Amino acid sequence: MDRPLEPRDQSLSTSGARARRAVWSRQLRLWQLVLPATLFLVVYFVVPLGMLFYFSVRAPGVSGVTLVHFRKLLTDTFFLQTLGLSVRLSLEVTAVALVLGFPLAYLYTRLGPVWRLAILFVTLLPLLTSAVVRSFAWIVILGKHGLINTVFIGTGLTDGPVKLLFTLDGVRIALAQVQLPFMLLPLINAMEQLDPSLEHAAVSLGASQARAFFKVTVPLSAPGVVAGAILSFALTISAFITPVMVGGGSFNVMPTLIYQSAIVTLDWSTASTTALILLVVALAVVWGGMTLGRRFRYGPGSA
Amino acid sequence: MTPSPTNARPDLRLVDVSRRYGPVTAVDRVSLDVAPGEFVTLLGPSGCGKTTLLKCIAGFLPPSEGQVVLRDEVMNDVLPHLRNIGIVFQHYALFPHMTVADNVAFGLRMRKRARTAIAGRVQEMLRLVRLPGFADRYPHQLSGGQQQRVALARVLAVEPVLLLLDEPFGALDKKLRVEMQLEVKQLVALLGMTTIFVTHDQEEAMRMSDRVAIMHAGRIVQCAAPEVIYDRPCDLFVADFIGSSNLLDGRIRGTSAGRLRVEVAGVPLEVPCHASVRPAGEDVVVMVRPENLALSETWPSDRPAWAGVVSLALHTGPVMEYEVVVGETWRLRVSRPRMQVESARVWAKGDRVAVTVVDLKAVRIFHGDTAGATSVRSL
Ligand SMILES: Nc1ncnc2c1ncn2[C@@H]1O[C@H](COP(=O)(O)OP(=O)(O)O)[C@@H](O)[C@H]1O
Ligand SMILES: [Mg+2]
Repeated sequence: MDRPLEPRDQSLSTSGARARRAVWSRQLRLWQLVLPATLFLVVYFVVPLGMLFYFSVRAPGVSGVTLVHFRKLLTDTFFLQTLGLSVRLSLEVTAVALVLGFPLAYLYTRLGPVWRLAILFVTLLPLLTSAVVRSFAWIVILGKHGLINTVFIGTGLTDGPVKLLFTLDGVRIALAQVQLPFMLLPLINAMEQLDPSLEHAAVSLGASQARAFFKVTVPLSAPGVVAGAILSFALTISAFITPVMVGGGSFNVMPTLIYQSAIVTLDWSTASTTALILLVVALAVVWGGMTLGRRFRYGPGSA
Repeated sequence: MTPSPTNARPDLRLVDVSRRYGPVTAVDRVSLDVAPGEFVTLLGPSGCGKTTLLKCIAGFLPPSEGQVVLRDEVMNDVLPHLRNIGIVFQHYALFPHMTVADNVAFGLRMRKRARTAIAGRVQEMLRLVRLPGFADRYPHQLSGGQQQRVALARVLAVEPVLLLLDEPFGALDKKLRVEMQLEVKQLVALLGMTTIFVTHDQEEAMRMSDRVAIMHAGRIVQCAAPEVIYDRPCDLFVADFIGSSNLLDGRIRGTSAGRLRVEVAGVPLEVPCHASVRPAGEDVVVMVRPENLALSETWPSDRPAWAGVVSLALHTGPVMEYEVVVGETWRLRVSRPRMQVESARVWAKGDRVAVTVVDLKAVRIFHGDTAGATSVRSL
């Protein structure tokens, strides 16, 4: 214990300096790594968003900031109806995707590797084609003499053709198909994290298979439901090609309004204002969903 | 409190139960009777089919063949939630979205008990597992041992006919494990619960069970009281699996007056003959437990002995463990209590010693045709 302290101190200080230098150079390298992504986001996201703001609060003949565009749109019944339709359509499509996706995800977790691959392949396949090609396929299927009507009339289910193409129902179906994988993947992720013995425990305590499913698996899959619903909602409310092609211009949604203002009438102020309102509404729904989702998280990290 | 499997009607009876996964036979013609109140442990290495057998009993897997009989009722076609069999899983499987009280109440709610009766029963069960006042916690707010106790309270609340425990202490550290072993054992005995316990930890099995069923490759190879399993293993697998033992190559030299003369490492032993008489010249494997060997400085006059050199001397607290090299290749494992009066002497590495067998009745002889049975197996 009576060893001289000095040499030890010296070695400490030199190694400390070396450590500081190492941290500094590591930080520098990390900073360099995120530089391209940062620049990219600034140029293609932050700047355009700033321009949206700028266009939405400027009007010809008015100096400074004005809310005239917002006032005009938010008092326009047609605009409000379209906004309502967009929100409703997105909620409906999300609900359809959930109803289709939940049992599929459950099935996925119970099946062997071959069936799993089959489910993933069939549901993810539409993502590998472009929206235009996919919508065109739906036109072929939903049309007056399309696949569905041929089957319906052929089996005597209906007398004449059912009008699906260029209707809201057709768009719902087509959009639900696209959203299915975005719903399915978070659901599978959530369900795969559940210990299979949870359901076994419920059954051994006297719950039937169905009750075990509804009492245990369903509530514990809630985080996946919320994640899938948020994705699906956000993607549906901004969908453009499918509503245009399968809807055939029989109705408007927010993205088509933006397109018309920006490209057809060249009214950039109205286009920007519409886009901002859509953004705020979508963010509000997503935020609501996330708040709801936080209630369903259990285990460490909640509370 | 030692239930005999023969007199009473068994709570559980397995009749030639098999379960195959494709070409793999996970459970192979298992028959077992478990008497009311009995604590039976399935013990075997990982992958020997213990969990599969439990799943067949619980009804999560249909057996490929055979019958599962619960209190005289064939269960094969009864849905698992109607069997009234309680299970505690290795990772407890507590419902994370429910409080402790809701977890314990789950089975009672499924049985549609009255609300007040449920509340009372939940309190009673939480007191029983020494967790009163934890009713409103969530499982993730509890320690491993506490979660384990909630899992027990949850399953015992519904008064199952049979309790199945699948490696329930696997996730606990050593000290807590031993505490929980005692606690579960006492709780189950208090309630007179018929229990099947699964583990791959032999000490745990020996400590807790009325009977231990040793499983190997899907079969029950021996099912008996712990001390019987230890003293009289029925084959080489059990001898090797339970405790530590010297498994030594030997050769039969003949029989005389109910004794089998067998030569091991050049020394003839006269072992009391049990069951089968073997022809002279046959190669056998001789099992001697380390505690059945003694060391001495002087050559014993009354019994055969091996001359050897201590090559390893380890202190383990209560017991000294030695390895003695005899001849060229033979290694004998010897363990002696340090406090034992006549051998108060502690040996060190390099000491020359004579090794003798303490009790020849406890020496077991097996057919030598099991692959890999060599003289150095004991280490
Ligand atoms: N679902 C399954 N599919 C195919 N083989 C399985 C399956 N479950 C278990 N097995 C096989 O059955 C045997 C017994 O497994 P298990 O009962 O889990 O053993 P233990 O619980 O004793 O470790 C092992 O060889 C295992 O690989
Ligand atoms: Mg197992």
